[in-house]
Amino acid sequence: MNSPNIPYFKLKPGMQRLLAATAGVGLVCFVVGLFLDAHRAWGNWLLGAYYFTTLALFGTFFIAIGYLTSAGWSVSMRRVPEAMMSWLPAALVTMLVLGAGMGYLYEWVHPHDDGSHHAHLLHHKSPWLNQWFFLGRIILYFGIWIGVSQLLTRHSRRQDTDGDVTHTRSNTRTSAIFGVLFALTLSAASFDWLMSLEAAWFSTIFGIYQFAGLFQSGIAALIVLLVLLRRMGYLRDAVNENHLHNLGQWLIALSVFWAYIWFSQLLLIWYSNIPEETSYYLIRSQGDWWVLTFIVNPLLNFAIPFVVLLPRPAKRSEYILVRVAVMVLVGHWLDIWLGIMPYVSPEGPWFDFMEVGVMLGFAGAFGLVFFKALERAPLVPLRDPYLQESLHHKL
Amino acid sequence: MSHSVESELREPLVLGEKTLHQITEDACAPLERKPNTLWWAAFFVALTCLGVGFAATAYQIATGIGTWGLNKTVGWAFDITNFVFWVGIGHAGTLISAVLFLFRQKWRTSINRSAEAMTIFAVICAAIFPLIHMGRPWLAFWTAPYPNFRGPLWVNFRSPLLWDVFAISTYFTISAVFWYIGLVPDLAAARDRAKSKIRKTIYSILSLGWNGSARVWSRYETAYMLFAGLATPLVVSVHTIVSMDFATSVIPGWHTTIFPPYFVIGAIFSGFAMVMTLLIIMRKVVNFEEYITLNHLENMAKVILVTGSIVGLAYGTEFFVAWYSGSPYEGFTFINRATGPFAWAYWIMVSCNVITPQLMWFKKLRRNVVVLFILSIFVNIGMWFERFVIVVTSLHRDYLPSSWAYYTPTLIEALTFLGTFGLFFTCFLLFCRALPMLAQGEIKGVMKTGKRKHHDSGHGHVEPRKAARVEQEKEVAHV
Repeated sequence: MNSPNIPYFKLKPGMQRLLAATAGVGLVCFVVGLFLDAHRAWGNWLLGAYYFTTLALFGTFFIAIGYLTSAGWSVSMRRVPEAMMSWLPAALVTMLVLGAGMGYLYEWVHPHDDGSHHAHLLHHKSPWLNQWFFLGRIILYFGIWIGVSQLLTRHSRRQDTDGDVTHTRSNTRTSAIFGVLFALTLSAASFDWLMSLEAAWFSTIFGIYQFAGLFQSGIAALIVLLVLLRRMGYLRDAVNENHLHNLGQWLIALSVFWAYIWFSQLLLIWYSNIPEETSYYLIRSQGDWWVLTFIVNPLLNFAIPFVVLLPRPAKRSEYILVRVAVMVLVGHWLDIWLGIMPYVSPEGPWFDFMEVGVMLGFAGAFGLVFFKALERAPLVPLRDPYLQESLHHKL
Repeated sequence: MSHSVESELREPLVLGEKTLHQITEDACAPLERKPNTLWWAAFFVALTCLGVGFAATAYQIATGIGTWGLNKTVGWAFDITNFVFWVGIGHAGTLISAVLFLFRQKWRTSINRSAEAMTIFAVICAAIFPLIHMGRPWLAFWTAPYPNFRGPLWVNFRSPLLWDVFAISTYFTISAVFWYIGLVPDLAAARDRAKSKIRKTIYSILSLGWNGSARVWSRYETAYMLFAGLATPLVVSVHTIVSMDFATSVIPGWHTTIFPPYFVIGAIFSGFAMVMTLLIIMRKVVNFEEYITLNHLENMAKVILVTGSIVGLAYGTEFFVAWYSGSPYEGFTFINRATGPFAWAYWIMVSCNVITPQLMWFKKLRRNVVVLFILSIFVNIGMWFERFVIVVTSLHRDYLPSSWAYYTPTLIEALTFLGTFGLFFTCFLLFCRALPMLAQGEIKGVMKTGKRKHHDSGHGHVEPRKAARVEQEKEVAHV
């Protein structure tokens, strides 16, 4: 299929070096951070690892719902989420590295038995919250995610050569099974990695809250990557303002969905005012955390995207859409940062080279893996039975 | 809005190679012929149930709600269960008409009209229970916040029960207006075909002077789009607020943060099940099998499978967190649900909502009308029990074992519930006689879906698949 007509992506060597350098700088920042404030350095590591895990997992999820709903419009852009999910094996490594720093983040790793109610709670939870089971679950979650992602990619790429519809059918079946596993694993993973930071605290909506963030930031990342590729001269016709319009609709809808879930948790915990639950919001009401938690976060993730994207022309304008998407990506970072840091370094909020560096490092590494994966297959799924619908998609 | 190019994998939405005129004929036929014996029999049964329910309601209003089986521990049971049940049923209609519209799911066109009708009737049924529960329903207007002469007596804005009043009345209003706007072109079609004078007058008034011009259609479509946008948040808000009736409390089993999305998904689940139950009967009785095809039923089955599984996930999450929280009261509530005196209700709920819908994983069963009918009834039962389990099992064993009690509904309560079914079906049967059950205008717009391949193969010169591929590769070369 290497005919000159078929569009392939090629990463420019300069860009590749830049991404690798960014990743290196990030690693240096993390290591320096370990010596200055190990708690916060590990917090940032968790943040970066989790953030890009969700973006990669979004790729799998987005492709799966495309197959399950027989969506036509999204086919021409599918290689981009396919490349996003190729980060998953690397994400597994970044999460396992966390094993070395768990003690700095999770109090249940070394529970003190001082006879208090808190110690009793940690003991009660120890069958679930213990080091080895925690790491084992990481391998289990990623095993499922990576397996499904590779299956989906393999059939999608094979279809490029043989044009067989059975690949679509097979991927639809895989996607259905993934749907079930995704719901279970994401719920459990969000409990493990974020909720258990405050080991005594619990909230049944937490998995859905993290799902909302994953979906919303994933769409934002997809928009940013597509616009980036278009600016590099790729996918000019295959992804046009009609596709962006659809993605813009997703972004506004998911901003509302995120706000709905975020507010549901806040309202119910505030209203019932049960001490076991309010602890989460109490530490986020101290000092400057308050403004970030209750004002800036909903502004970035909900209010601004909602208002800006409401008019139809805004969703069709690459210029506006990509700016909103970048803002949502920052908002999602803030959302997770607020999930981790008020507990890890309550005397904060701190924001310095560690926050920026570690995040940039992860972004560089993610970018490198993403673009390398994108090089490996034609930029559009050439013989997907829905490709024509997608190329002619109009709104 | 339609695809200019369509994949050959798309299935037709309307079967039987209909012409535009045939669709009008088919959609208007049930309005124009005399009702048959089957309809009269169904109507008689429904009306009887309604009458019985009316008598039971009159009796309890006259006597007082001491006629219910409540006791000092279980202070809320059948009334709120039935209320939540009916509000839930009322979710599919607006979901199908608004959310699926925004998702550009063309298959909604054959089922949206009757689903919306069910929504409206179900919300009416739901509203009856809080009204009766007020004890003095003639004072229901006290729930409206306005400056009044009852002293400084205002409604309690901090109570989710008041939010319910606002949420449900808004939902009802918007759903009804949305439904009516969709009806206007079809009412005009009925008007234009009317033979008798009375008929013509009524449909003329109802169709608001619709003349079918391009300008009118354009405005209609804009209005429809706007209403879809307005109705979508309402699909979510109503059951969210219903869930807060429980979740804002501090009672284990009621207070849990997952309740809002969990209730919304459950409502969609139960609403789709009820729509499926009724449509399976309707398509048979009114001969709409070429409009409400097996594909439509299969799509609905998929929605039921997905939502049912999410409901299952919520059950699992609640159970897990009841343990994970380390709270003995949370833990007890859930163990008590599964093993206590109401375990039978709990296991009916789990079987009907989580286990049996899993059969819909199999395509063969998703396309088997009898299986779907039975499964949809199971879901209806299961979702009623879900609300019963949440309400009653969380209450009947409180912190003080000496006040633990069991709850049994009285005959009056059961008959009232029966009465709401009577009301629902009476309204629905009248709807089938008086208003067009198919949105003809919309169906005519999706007729071409899945039909292209027939035309292509008609020429017989080029194999369509091959032609499409050649075309596709040309296209890709430009990308």
